[in-house]
Amino acid sequence: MVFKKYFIPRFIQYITVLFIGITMVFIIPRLLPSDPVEHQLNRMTAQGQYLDPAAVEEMRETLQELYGLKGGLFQQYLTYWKRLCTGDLGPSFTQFPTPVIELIKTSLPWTVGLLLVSLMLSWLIGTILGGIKVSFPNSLLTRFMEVFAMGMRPIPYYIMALVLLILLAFVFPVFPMAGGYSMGAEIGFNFKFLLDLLRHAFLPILSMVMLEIGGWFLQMRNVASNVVEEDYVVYAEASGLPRRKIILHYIMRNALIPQITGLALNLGFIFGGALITEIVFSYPGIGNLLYAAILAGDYNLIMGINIFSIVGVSTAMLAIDLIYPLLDPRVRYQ
Amino acid sequence: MPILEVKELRAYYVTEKYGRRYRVKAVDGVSFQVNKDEIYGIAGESGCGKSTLLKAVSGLIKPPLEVLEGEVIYNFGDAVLNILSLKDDKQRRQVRGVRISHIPQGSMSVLNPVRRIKKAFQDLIQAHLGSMERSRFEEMVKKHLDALGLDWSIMQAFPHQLSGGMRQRLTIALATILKPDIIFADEPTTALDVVVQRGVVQLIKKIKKEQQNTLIMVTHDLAIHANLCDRLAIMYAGKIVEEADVDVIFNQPQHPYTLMLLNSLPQLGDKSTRVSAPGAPPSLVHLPSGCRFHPRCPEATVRCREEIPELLELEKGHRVACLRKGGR
Amino acid sequence: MSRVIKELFNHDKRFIFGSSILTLFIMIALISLFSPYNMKAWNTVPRDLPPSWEHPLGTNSMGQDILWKTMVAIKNSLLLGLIAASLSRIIAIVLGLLAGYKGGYFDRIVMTINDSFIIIPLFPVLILIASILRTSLSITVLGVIIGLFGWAWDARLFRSQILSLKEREFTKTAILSGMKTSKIIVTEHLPYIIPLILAATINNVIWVIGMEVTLSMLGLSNLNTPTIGTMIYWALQYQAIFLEKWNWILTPIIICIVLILALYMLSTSISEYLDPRTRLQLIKKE
Repeated sequence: MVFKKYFIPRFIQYITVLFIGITMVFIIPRLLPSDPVEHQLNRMTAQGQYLDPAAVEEMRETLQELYGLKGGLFQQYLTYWKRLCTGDLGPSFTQFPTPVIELIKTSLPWTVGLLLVSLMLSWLIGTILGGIKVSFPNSLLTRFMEVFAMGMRPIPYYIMALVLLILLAFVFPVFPMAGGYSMGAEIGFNFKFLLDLLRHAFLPILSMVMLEIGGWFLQMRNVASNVVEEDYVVYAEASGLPRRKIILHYIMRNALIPQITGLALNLGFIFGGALITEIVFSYPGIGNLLYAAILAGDYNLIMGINIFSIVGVSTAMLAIDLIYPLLDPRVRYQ
Repeated sequence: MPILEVKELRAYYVTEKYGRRYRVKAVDGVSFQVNKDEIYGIAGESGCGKSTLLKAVSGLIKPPLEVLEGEVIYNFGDAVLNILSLKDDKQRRQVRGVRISHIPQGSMSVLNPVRRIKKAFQDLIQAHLGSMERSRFEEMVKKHLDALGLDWSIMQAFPHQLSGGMRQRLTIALATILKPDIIFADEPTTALDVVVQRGVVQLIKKIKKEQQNTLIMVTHDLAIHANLCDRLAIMYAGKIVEEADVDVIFNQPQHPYTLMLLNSLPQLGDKSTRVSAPGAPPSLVHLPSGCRFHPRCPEATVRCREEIPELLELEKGHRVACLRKGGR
Repeated sequence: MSRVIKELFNHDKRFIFGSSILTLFIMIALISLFSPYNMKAWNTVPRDLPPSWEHPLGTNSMGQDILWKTMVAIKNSLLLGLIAASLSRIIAIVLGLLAGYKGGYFDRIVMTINDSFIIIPLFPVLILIASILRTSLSITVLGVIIGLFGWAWDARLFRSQILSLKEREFTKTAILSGMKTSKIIVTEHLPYIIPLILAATINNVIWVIGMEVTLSMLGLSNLNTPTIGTMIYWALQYQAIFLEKWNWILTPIIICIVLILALYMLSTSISEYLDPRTRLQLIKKE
């Protein structure tokens, strides 16, 4: 029953996301007026290289092959899927012939690390403070938090990162301006290197946490203030249960469920934020790879990152959806 | 001395939004006494302030609800206390759940949907008796469930897995497991079908008899009052308009509103069409002047529009608030 | 509607702050139409001047007056927000209302697609589009592209509002009394939805302005058009941070923060007014 009512719709949603997202990435370059192959060729010639017409023609062929632009549209679409299913995202142009997937693999740990740490910190702190806000509306800490959240929440990732960079890396040079670790650092599992890693990761993480904490706080506050008025909380009060018990097991526990849904729904947005933050701090993750690809006009890499993001985010979301029934018995036992 | 004495209780919901101030006069000068072992009924249409009265009487006051004046005095034999003057929240919690308890309207939502039923019992017992060994806890609950005709297996269930009647029985079990002195039942039969209603009323009756506690029954359903209560108070727009023994209320009602309520009830052997109460109860924000019932009252006079009737004793044990029935 | 605005203005400081700043920015945008300089041209004034009477915010290394450039940038950023938000509004309203009212299979299909657009990380997708179009990205084209992607959250919001309105007592009464569906929607439901649309639109404008800033800093827009984003881009290109040309780099950053905060205050104060609980109290006690 649970399987049919809960899991099957989730899988359908998952497949739909993948289908729509990946098809979108296929269609977009073909819908837009500028031809990526011509664009690429123009770029090469514009850089002052002299190429004889025969070489250009040969290159056009190769590029069309690489982009999967050969044959009819439907034919192209099929080849595209066939390639994806084998995990082949094609080669990078600027770092030819390194496969795109290789480049993503080297950058991925940085992004995952940044994303996980900032997401957990902001989600946990925001959720807990939001619950406290509702339980003790007049506490000084949460009143300050409310103003802070209101002020931070709408700021774009890019602006926040830039302001922190100017303030804490330039005006008061407490933290390094760029990179994932110091140049020339001995890479290894030792205290000095870990400290160096932490120092470099601090500002990107701070930037993301400051922005996201407010969102989780406000959402938790709103949900929990609805939960407080639910009959079961009023009844728990009428039964004389201790306050701590009511806050933890009745208010917070129940407000946690929408908080998890929120996590799943916001994942795509937050992932985008992580990419932006990486670019500002030249943090060596996927965001930075994307930036390099934009600067070099490496479409294949941009497309690869797109496909990878769609698959990654929707799979992460499916994972959250699969954990969800553990938290909500109403889904588990229907 | 009565076990519960409520004196001149006034509890309003006070809110202020965008410069407009609202006072919902949900309980507006209510006084009554409940004797030990008695079943005291409170009846009235929805929105007359019954539920707020219950909240205030059990000391569950948090914004926007405010108690403006009045006393609520409990006499448990070994202790006399005014629950409204207990400043310490902890002290109030020590009274609620163990000396006074609630049987709420047993809809879906009075039990936490994400916790097993067992947890509800654990929370309650732990809060008032402290932690106890598992075997002792299980024995205590099992015994109580047996007495109520409930099966131990439902302890592992989640609320949404049970039927409405079953959930209602569970709330009764929860309310009585600690043998409280007073039980407040708030619309315990609403939202149940008639067959289940009967069972629930009988269950309440049975356990009350066994534990010898005092029961305050709040419901709009007069049939249940007739069946269950010793004395009955009729509430209208935040005030008690009539109070007497149940027999007296049903046989010699004095207040026109009581009369109107009774006339809307079907009676055995009576084949005339039922008259539903005309009009609607007033908004508790904009109350009519004078007697609050006068806009709907068939007997209203000019005086009723201007003077607020007091609740006065017509004869022993029968109080009425009506200017036309010897009221001042 | 005017009563709502009056009440909010009298009793909500955030509303006062938000609406005054927004009015100020709109006035600035109008004044910018009379700019004495052509902001697409370089070297119209001497370079790198500190603030003075003639150039209150100084000039930049490209030989442009910073104050006038900022004013034009505000106009363009607001215009972009307006174009993108209008387009995504149309999509969100049509889909949200149709799905909400029609229900059934139509609703399910639309919402599955809708949720896909919520889940898919839009930022890399927008980069893909922008990096192909790049130089041909005028304000209008950029607005249309951002607008085409920014509707999913709000379609969901409008749909759920319709679903809850459909369940309300007055709708059922209206249906039972034989009122036409179209009339119910116009007379009973629209008054609830319009303020919601307003609040959602403001939030959408915030997102659009943020997205423009982000795409511009990547060099993915028409960099000759002054916007808040391109101003930051050029300042960074000329190393304004390292050369400590604070008047150049901080002006667009501060403008961006103030504008976004003002819009956000405005939308929270409206949505708080709309909060079902607040609203219920207001209706019940009137």
